[in-house]
Amino acid sequence: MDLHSQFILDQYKENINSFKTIEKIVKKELESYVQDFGFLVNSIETRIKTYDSLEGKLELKGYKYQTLKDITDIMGGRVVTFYNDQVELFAAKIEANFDIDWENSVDKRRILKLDQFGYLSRHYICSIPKKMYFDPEHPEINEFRFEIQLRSILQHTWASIHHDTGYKNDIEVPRDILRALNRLAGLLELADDAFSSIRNQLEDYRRRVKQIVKSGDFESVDLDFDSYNAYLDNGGFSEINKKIATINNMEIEPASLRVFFEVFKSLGFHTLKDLDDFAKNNSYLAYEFAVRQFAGKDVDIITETTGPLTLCIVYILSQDMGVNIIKLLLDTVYGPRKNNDTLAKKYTAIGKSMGLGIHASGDEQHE
Amino acid sequence: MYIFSGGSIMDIIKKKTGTELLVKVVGRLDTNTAPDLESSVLPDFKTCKKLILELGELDYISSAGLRVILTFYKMLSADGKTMVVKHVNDEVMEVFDMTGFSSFLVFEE
Repeated sequence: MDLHSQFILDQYKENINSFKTIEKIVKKELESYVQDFGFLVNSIETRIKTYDSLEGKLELKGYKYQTLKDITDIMGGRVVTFYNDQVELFAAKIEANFDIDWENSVDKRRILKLDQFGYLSRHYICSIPKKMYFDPEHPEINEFRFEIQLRSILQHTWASIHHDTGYKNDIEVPRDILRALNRLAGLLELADDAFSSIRNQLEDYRRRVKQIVKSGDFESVDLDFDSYNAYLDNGGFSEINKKIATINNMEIEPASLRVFFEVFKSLGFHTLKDLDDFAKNNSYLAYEFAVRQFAGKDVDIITETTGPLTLCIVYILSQDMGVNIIKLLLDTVYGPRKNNDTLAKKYTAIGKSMGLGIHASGDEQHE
Repeated sequence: MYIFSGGSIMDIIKKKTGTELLVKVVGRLDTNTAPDLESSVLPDFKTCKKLILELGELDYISSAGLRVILTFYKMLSADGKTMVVKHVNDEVMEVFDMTGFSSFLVFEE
């Protein structure tokens, strides 16, 4: 180790706490962007170069640096997004909030020629502006530069595998391997765009379904998880819950109705109209059933699951599907339990007292 | 701790093992006794990561009892903690089922 490199390493040791402060500020700032955007990212990572790693770098090219301030990757941050267009959003935030050393920042997309494929990523060399953080006793915190990399998860995959080959730059890579890697880069670029397109289509679909559900035109909407959620958001089973709640002037506690989606698909409902007809046509029977369950009981609280569960029970009984299907319903909603069998028989008995399920087959075998 | 309140009798037995709190409730959990269960257990939530409600000898639960259990569930879930309800008898389970509480409570035998 020559004296000059040792001087830089000593500077590193003296300033390590300032880099730790920079790391904290950068991480917090990047995480705040995620909050602002309201979408998730794959990862936000920061790291400080170790003493040994810096020593290795200086051994190779220490001559390039006058002081520690000339080295721009002592602190590094990396944001890996799920979609490539989210890289642009982060880029805009970074450009707006950090001081950027444009001369040394790189947009790898601009380096590649139009007929070339390879590493697409943005590398910003930044420093912390005083408006973001300033400690008069440590002005160096605003002077040290650091690097922030922005990539999509597919760009990150490609870069990680490329890095794993051990070659520092493309000139070292055997021609056929380089061609294969670049071919793959092209494929991943296409995949990146395709994933963004799928996400956009999905967002459009959800918006459209919400509007249609609001308009009440249920016939044209397939029953899928998104349309089901839109149906729930639009009131869904609140009518039947409110009706049942009148029995003991009960309070209705919110609860997840996710599990019922599987039930409704199993019952053969294909459109939201099927689901809405089911809710409307069985409402009276469900209320009658609930009266027999709740009347005279010291219970004045139910959850939102009570309405759809009771609708399912009376529907199954009125279709003469039998006690086994009621048990299957309970297994789905509550998970398999010892007492689901007893409960299914009890519900079937209540149904029979209402004249429901009296022609059901399979009950005898079950009992 | 025996609680005799408004004609109802409830017994609460608490046992803490590390961050796990076992609460055995015996007797009746109703309007008279539910507030006592709440005030007895809530102070332990700060240091507990898992609550086990042992209800094998709980004979009766009313809406007031359900609300206390719902409060426990909500408070623990909000902090990423867990609650397990154990050995529920048929009568009490019937109340959990008819009210829909069974759809979110985690039961163990």
